[in-house]
Amino acid sequence: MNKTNNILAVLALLCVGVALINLGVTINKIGDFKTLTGFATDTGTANLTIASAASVSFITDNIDWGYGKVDEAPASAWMDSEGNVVDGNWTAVAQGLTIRNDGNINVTLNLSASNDADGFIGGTSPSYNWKVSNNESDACQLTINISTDTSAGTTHQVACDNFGYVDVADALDIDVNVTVPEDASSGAKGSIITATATAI
Amino acid sequence: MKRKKRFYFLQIFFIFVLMIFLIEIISGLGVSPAKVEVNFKSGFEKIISYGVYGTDSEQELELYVAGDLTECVKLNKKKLVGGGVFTATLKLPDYIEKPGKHRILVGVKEKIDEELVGAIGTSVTIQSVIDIYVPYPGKYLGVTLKSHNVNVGEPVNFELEIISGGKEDVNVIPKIEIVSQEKTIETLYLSERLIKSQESIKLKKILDTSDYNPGNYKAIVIVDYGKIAKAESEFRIGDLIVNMINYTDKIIIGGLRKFDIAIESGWNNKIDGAYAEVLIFNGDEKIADFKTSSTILTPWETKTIEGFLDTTGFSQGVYDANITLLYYGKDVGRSSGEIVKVEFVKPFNIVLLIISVTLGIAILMVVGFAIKKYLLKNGKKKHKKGNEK
Repeated sequence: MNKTNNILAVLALLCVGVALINLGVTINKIGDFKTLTGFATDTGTANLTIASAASVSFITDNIDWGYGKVDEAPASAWMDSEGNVVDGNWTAVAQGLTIRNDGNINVTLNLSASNDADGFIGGTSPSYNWKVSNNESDACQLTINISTDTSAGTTHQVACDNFGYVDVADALDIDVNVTVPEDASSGAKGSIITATATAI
Repeated sequence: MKRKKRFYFLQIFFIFVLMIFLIEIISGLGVSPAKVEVNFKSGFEKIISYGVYGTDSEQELELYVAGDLTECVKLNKKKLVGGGVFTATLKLPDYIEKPGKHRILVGVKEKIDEELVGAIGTSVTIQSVIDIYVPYPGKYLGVTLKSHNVNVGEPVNFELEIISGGKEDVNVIPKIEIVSQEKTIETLYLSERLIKSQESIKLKKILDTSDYNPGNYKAIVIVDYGKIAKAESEFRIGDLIVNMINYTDKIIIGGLRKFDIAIESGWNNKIDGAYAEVLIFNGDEKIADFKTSSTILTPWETKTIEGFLDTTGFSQGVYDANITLLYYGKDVGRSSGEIVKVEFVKPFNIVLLIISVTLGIAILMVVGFAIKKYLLKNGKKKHKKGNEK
């Protein structure tokens, strides 16, 4: 029993000795590394290039007042994309178009339509107007050019000269209103609004 | 084992379904690169690869070249379907007479189906640009400046870019003048630098606004290189303040009437709530009071808040109105007041107008008739006298 205890004691001393040597070597090596983690004596470079991208999306890409007709009086109905229908029974639409700059570069934004009021609605004195506003504050970094009701048509109109891409300020609203005269021909009416984004 | 496999399959299936629901259905288009800049060199050639993405997989896309120097760019495709890649080969001529920037547009256009009718739809066109810089003879600098709105105490980080568009190198010491109400109040100087021909440099300078008052400012970067290159940028320094910019100054007496107050945020943060308390006085006596609706204001936003006032018992005249604006943002509340004049008028009486107009017409007719009779009488007398002679 005594003999076994002695062997164990020698082994324990040996282990302590090895552990101490190990500790010494480790401390010495740490000194070489100077810091505990992530230290490399060599240097390297990491290069990457981010390509510029111009990209816009219509988050809301449709305005549809559905079926309807002009009331008996007066001679025309008026409706907009801000929830108003006057003198007609179309379904009110309270959401205009919203366009977002998804790219990583500012752009100029032009609007054009596939037709004007006569082509879109027809009849006597129809109207087809649009106006642009910031959906997110300062999305248009300069003054919005179509900030009040302006006749929509096939000619390009500059909506915003500097449409930003930063996430919290990259969305513009396009609201539309139309006047439908009672003598406008019946049938489905449609117009396509094209947003042209040019990198700046 | 089979059960485990089935479980993993179900997990993947559910993640897939979830991803489908998370995809936002939007109509869009993207082109990369958005911009390529080239310094003019005689006979220079370059092939530019464009990637088109973000559109519907069946969407037909038309490709085109527009703008300046269109004859210098040839596209390898005329159309794409649902995105993809195309190349533009740029081949510059030996000589371009006009110095400066020449912009070529490389466009990708969603083709519209003209036969589809109903509602208002949308389409997108993206125009990537190729800018060709033809050097000016001698020295020529172009400069741009960017700034941003802040609140008092926050730094304004100016970013300026100086482009040497001439054939010669230029040594510059740019400076930025801070202007308020047409007066230069501070000048920031940047270090001296050499800008080589047809190279550009981007620089930063910080403005400490601790000692500035809230308001509108203008920064003007001036680079003197024998000639002067200048650029301006406006910025605002804000504070938690809401200003009244307009109000209803005339009210027609009779029942409940709307009272509008146009307010403007002077802060570069969101104002969580703003409303007004209005007290109307007849001399020293308060005769009415009301509160307007409350609203949120985004930075620098202008909005109209409205309240309603019972005008019963008011008589025609001008009254004093004490308008107090109360607002708060970032857990700090403030108020500002102003005494203004409001005119109360009687409603328009249509019967009185008709009577006045009728009376006016009658008087005119009587006067006209009298003049006619007088002229006729005079004419006859002259005729008689002439005959007697």
